[in-house]
Amino acid sequence: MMRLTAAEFRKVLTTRLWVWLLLASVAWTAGYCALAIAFGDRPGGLAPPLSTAAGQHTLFAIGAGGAGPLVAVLAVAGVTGEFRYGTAATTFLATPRRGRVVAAKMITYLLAGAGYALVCLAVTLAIAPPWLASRGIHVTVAGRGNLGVLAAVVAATAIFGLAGAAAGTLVTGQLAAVAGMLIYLYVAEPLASHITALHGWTAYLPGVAADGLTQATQAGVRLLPPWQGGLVFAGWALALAAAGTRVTLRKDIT
Amino acid sequence: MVRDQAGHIVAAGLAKRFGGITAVDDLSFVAGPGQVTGFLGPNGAGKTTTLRMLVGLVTPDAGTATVSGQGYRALRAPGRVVGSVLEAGGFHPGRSGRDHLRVYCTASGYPLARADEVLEITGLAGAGRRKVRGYSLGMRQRLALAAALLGDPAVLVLDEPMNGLDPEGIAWLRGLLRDHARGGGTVLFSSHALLEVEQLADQVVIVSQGRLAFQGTLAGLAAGGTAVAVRTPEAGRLIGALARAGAQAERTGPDGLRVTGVLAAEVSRVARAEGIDLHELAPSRASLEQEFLALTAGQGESPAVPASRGGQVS
Repeated sequence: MMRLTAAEFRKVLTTRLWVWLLLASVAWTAGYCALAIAFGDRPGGLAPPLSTAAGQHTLFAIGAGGAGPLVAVLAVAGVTGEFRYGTAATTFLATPRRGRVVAAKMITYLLAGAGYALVCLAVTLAIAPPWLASRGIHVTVAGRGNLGVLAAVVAATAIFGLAGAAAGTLVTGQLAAVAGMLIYLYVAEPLASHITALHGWTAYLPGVAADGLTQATQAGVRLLPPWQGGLVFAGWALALAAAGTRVTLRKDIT
Repeated sequence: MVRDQAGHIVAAGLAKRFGGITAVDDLSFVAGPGQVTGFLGPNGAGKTTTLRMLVGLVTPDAGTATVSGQGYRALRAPGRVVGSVLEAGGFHPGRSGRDHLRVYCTASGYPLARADEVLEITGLAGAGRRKVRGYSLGMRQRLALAAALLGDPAVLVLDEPMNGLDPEGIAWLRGLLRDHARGGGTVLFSSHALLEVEQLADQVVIVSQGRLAFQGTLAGLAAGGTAVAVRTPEAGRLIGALARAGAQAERTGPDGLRVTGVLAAEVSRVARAEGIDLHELAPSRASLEQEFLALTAGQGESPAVPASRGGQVS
């Protein structure tokens, strides 16, 4: 398993996509932090004030948490790329026990997700505390529940990687899988989650459950509490993983 | 006994349908060590599907395929037993050839330096660090072969390995595969071109419409036909002598004959008895080709294949 996971990491690192998506994640994180601190911190704004614990949690969760969907794109593109470029054949020739290959991919993108989150959190911590300190707001990273939020961001981003890899084994058409995932996460789910009448169940959708885990609070969206959101999101990812593994084991590589 | 089957590829009753189309139907054959076996048939005859069943990429509907007595998926270290080059062998265009090989070194537990060794063997040492995007079709074939050689396997399974190679590359590959078999290895390669197979294979497996049409040597296939090509300065006398022996001969040139009704050995006996010099005596190539076309009649996408012998058009 170690060998296979190392091989999957080698696949990720020997093409360029991971660099671009990491840069995009960092740009989003930095951009969100800058905008939230420079312009968003007003009474009556969309997010809670940054002097409050809730405000700081949201800053971490939405800033660094933005890496989640991008890691999912990295994973779904990586997995479907094996089918698009026909490397799946070579991969399964080297390792005919396909379940192990699929598991190695999921572990790889889980870890890649954690890595992206750590980089983005480092960017957040480089920007936000000094800037806020200049306004007299002192952020204690180890206090006010901040560490819990940081851990939740790492967990959520990692699960995004796992879920993306799983989705890629289910929908192996690369364009369809990547476009479908982006439309779902950035259009379908946000639209649905803002409809008050649907709040009873939108909180259980994968991306909204992930926001529950990190408490990426947005006005007008109902979130689950962190532990529940985490369980629901992980449940989605594992269900996708189980279905994707089953499909991959039976697939004829033609 | 697994020991007795070492290096043998055995297909037994393989069958596969895709949707309503039968790709392979009750196909059985053996390829053994020390030999190059050509897997010959028109495009669409089921060659690729069969090879993919041999290496566990496609699950057969019926039958079994084993290498050294075991199903591919049951092999503990498959890359050390079988090396495969599959048609349109896939590469990520943005990954270098060397990195491609190193991925599979890592997956199979080979030292990374093995990647450089196989690049050397396949003549790609200078191109290893370039992205596959910039490779020609011939270089991609070489890279696919390099990947197959990583585990130094005794058995090679290759799907249309000559495609895209230039004449020099084809000659090089021919030498490599022949040496591999001479060293005791097993080589099974598919082709739709009779000439390619003729120049390399010790024995052939011919498929048509997913079924076995012939297994044996090409000489045996030609002998199944009835034509022998003869060149002699005394063509007129030989025609007469052959006629008395019950054979028919027709002129193909001033000193060339095409003899039907007897084997080459009989032509030689008749000529010697009459004191006639023979400058050439061979199973006619035209005959070999006719036999091949007859076996695969009505199949394949090429309109050049005549459906003359009552073949079914599928």
